[in-house]
Amino acid sequence: MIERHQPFAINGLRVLLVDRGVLFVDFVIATGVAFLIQLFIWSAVYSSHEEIQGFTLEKLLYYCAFTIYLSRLNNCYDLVQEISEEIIDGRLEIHLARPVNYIGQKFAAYLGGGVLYAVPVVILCVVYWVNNPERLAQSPADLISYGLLIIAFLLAGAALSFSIGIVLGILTFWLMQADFVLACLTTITAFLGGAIIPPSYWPEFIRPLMAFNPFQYFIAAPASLIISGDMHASAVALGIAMLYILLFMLLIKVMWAKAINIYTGGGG
Amino acid sequence: MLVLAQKAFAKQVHYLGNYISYIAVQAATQVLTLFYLHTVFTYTDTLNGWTREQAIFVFYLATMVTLTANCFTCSIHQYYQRLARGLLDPVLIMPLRRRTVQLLRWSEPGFLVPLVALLCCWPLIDPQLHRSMEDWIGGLVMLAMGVLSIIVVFSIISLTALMTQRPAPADFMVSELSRMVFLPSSVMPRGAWQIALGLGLPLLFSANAAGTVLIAGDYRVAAVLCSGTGLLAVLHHIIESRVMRSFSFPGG
Repeated sequence: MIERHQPFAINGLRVLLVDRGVLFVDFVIATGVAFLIQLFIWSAVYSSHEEIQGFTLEKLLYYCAFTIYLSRLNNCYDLVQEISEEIIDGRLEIHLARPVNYIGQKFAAYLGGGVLYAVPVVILCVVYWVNNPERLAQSPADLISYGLLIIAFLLAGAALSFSIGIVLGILTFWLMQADFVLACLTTITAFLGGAIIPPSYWPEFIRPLMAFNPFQYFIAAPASLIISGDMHASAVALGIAMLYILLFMLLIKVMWAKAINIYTGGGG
Repeated sequence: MLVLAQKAFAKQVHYLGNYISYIAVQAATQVLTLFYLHTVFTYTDTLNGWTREQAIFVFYLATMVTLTANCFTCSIHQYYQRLARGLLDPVLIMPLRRRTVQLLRWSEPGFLVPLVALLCCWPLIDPQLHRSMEDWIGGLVMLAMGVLSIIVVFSIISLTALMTQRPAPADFMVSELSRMVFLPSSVMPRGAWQIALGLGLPLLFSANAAGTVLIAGDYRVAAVLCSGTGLLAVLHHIIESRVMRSFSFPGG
């Protein structure tokens, strides 16, 4: 099973490595700008506060850095674009004829590309733990649980963002153009995912939406786990994320069955 | 020139759904950014001395500057894409100056329509409508300079296509950098950092230079913006004219 999916994963990684210009912008400029905006604004705000909503300036900046890289790691923009182009160009048959399930091919490629974007998250974790050793659990058992929970969150985040990407990609069967979906995706993911500021910073009336939407389970929730180390709350969040994954998998199954019946192969 | 602009507008309006959805998404993004600013101001009264109304005014100026620059940067992007593919020859035989073609052939002047609507809102958003005539003129000149700074930075990044025969991701880079444009000058670095940033990436001050002139009558940020834009424009002109002399348009 892994052997059959491996080439797709390696290909997913290679595709990212080939376009070094985009990779540089994605890794340095896009993340740097997002971080600098938060740094400049919140440095000014924190000049008259020690702590806001339980966050010191240092903690908030770590949160911002984690969410920025997690949103890049779980970015399904390219996935939606790729599926849309294959449907619009009528190139789906080539992929369907392969001896590996279409969704499986896409998931392997998505994970392969994700490996590259996981590197800065891991580096950031190390930097955070070195500078804040008191945040690490003291007993070996807690430390192992903490580590496993982070890995589980990263995997669940990849699966959840992939599922959302597939649902949006499949919509092309009906919409025939995914431009609008793609244009909305980045903004909505950053806003609802908590990549801009922690959900608790938003005004009261919007907090339920910020706390329970699916996007926050692959951006804000893992960042909060790494920073706060609150394993109980994170285990609950991971459970909800798993429920969302199951829900989206069911949705994909239903949508795919309907979509493939209306697909003509003629493109659009 | 007028024909190019007319054709570009007709083409943009022809794909009405695309045009409206783009405007709708941009509007949604701006509303979310405004909501973010509102949330920031629930934790503080001023951002290093700038009030909520003043920060919103800078955000308003930033929206106008980036929208206007977008009209032209998409044309520059298309120009360099064609250049990298070796498809430029039919465009270059047009009886027009190359710079005009670069700026207008694939421009999207439809973005100026929401700009007009935004301009009508000026009296509602401007926190101090009464200012001296030189501040009005200075502010408006700085707005135009802000638009120019984005175009110049976009062009200079795109220039790498002449060396590599591959289009540079200038649109991606500039759209990411433009996200900083709404920041008031009070939160941006000062002193040597401000000068370094202004000379290297003047677009970062494309809106707040005008904001500082219009609100505080302070021309220091404006001077940094003008110096940076001027420097990069000269650099662009020198590099482009040198490289174009030996460029053969074979595509890559």
